[in-house]
Order: sequence, then C-alpha cells, then structure tokens
Amino acid sequence: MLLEFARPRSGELPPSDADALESHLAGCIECDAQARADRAADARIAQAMRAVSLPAGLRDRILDRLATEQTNQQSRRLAWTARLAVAAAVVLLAVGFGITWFGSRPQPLDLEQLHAQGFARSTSPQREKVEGWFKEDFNLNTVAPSAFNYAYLKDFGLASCQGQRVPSMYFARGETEAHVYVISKDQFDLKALSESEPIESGGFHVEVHRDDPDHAFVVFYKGDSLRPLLSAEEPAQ
Amino acid sequence: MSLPGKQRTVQRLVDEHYTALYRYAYRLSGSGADAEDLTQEAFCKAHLNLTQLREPDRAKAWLFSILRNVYLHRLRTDRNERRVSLDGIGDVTVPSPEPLPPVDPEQLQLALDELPEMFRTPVILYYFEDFSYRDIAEQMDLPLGTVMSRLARAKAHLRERLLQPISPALLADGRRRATDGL
Repeated sequence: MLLEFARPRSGELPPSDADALESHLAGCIECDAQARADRAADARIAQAMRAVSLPAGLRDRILDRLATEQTNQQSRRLAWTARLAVAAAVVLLAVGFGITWFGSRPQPLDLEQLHAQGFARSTSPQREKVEGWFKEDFNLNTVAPSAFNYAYLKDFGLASCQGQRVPSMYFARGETEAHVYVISKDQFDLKALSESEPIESGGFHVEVHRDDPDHAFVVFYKGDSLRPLLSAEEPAQ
Repeated sequence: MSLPGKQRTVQRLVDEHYTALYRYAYRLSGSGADAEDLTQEAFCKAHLNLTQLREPDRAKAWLFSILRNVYLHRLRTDRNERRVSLDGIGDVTVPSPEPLPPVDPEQLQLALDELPEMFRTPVILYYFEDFSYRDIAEQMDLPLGTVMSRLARAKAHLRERLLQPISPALLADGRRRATDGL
C-alpha cells in the first residue's frame, strides 16, 4: 500500500511513512526488487506518456481561435444588445401607445357626480355652501352676500371683468331676477365703488351691498324691487 | 499597443500551459486533430469563464478540468468508441516480475485508447507526474480510494498490454487513427 503512494518526488507520503518505507526496502531484497521494477516501469511509461510532439504553429492557432471567438462573442453581445434595445423600444412604444389611447378616450359620464354638482346643489343651497362651491370648483376663497335668499339661487360661476376673475351668482323669482358680482378690495377700488351714484344699465337696476370692508356685492336686478329675492321673504312653495 | 487585462491573462495561460494541455488532450483522444481542437476549445472556455479562476496557482488544474469536460461532452455524442472491459482485470498489487521494455509512445496510446475514460484520465494525469493523487481526485470529483483503485487497475492493464508484442498492422492502424476526428 505504501508503495502505491510512494511516487518519487511526489511528496504523497508523510515523511515518517516515507522513511519507514525506505528503511524497509533497504532491508528487504524482495520488496526492494519489486519497488525498483515498479519505479522503472513507471518511469518508462511516464516518459512515453509525455512523448507527444507538438504540431508546428499550435500556439499561434490557439491565439487566432481565441481572437476569432472573442470577435464572435462581441458580435453576439452586440446583436443581443441590439435585440434588447429593439425589444425595449417596442415595449416603450406599446406602453406609450396604450397610455395615449386610454388617455384620449372620452370618460364615461358619472351621473351621480353630475347630480351632486348640479341638481343637488340647487335644491339645498345655503350661503356657506355656496362659498364652499366656489372653493371646490374654482379654488377661490370668496364670500356670498348675506342678504339674499339662496332658495332662489339659480346659477353661480366666474365672470371676467377688466382681466379679473369675479365670482357671480344669479338669483330669480318670478319676474324678479338679479346678477350679483362679488368684488374684492384686492382687485378693485371699493371706496370709489361705494361712493358712486346708483345707475340704471340695460333695463337693470344696479345696487352695491356690503357685508364686510373687504368685499362689495354689485347687484344688477330686474323687477320693481330686489325684495322678493332677499332672505326676509318666505320662499315660494 | 498593450492587450487588455483579460486578454493578457489568457495569453499568459496559453504560453504557460498549451503544451501540457495539448499532450493531455492527445493522450485522452488519441488523435492529433482532436487534441488541437480540444485544446483550442478549452482555452476559449477558459477565456469565457476567467472569473472562475480564483487561485492563479491552480490554473493548470483548472485548465485540465475544463479540457476534460470538453472532451467528455464530445464523448457523449460519440457512441462508436471501442473500449475493453476492465472487469477481467483485478487490482494487481504484485506487478509482473518481467521488466518493462522501453515503451513506444504509439503503443502506449493504443493501450490507453482501450481504456474507458474513467480509467484513462487518472492514469494519464498520474504519469504526467504533475498532479498528486488528491489533485486527480479533485479533478475527477472522486474519493481518493476510488482514484487509487482505478489507477491500480489501469496501470496493470497498461503494463500487461505494453509487455505484449504489437503487430505492425495494429500500430499502422493506430498511426492512422491519430489523425482521425472524433
């Protein structure tokens, strides 16, 4: 067994085992002869095993093949990159097209929202609610006149006057109707407005009401009096 | 212009190991053409997987493993190999007392060609004397005892065949086969 491991110069055996083997071989003619024959046979086979002649130009051909493989590999990598880029572009286009298509489709009408925005508002108006609607719809902080009966509010919105956005409300009851514009002191000179004389304009009477120093309500109304639209009056059934 | 790092490393590996690798490939395949092709492919695979070489000192063992894997891959597609069965050959612990005459390398190749790869590989690596038994066991992913057993049987087979006189016709056939493809 030790002999099997005892390859010359191999260091397979621990030094103690190698020494023990050599000691035994030195004293045992039979084993020594076997070891010598074994080693001689191994040496001859090993010599023959390594006796392989190299073909001329082998190194250069190996390097050429490596260079060719590297070029092919780069080409393959480039082709893959190109394929990936095309695939990514296709995906992006598809996503973009999808977003555009879905984005450009007309929205389905939400009847509940329409009801809440329109009919429901006109059936349960209060002054504070109207102010809230201006905030919701136009992101505008404003005030509504306290004198009016909001049961007669028919519409509200924004009017444009001298380049300024002006909240407006439309009240109507029978023959009486009024357009109310909320004027802020940040937009117009309220003092000059208050001092101006009452005017008649296109069949409308014009009045200016004030609830606070910062706002004025310019009221254009038709009818004998504004009284039917004011809060002191009982709403018609 | 200097070569990039990876390319320089591969070229150094080629310079240092191509002769040993070719000889190993030749003894495995028994054919000069196949040996060259195997050697080239092994270096190409080494180039692709250079990051797997974590211990440069073990580059030779690593390259030999790659070459063997390439060879085994090809062998699986080649069902026409002629191999003798080693069932009849026991673990010869007492070699023939007859001294082995000088060995003809081509006769050696014929004897190697008869061995199945599982016996041929360890005996080739053994006689190259560059690999320890443990190296061989690691390369073949086998227990040391299995390697020892296979080596003993393969060596016994080689010695037996090398002691037999070989006919000139068989030798000529062997020379022809040395240029055949797999």
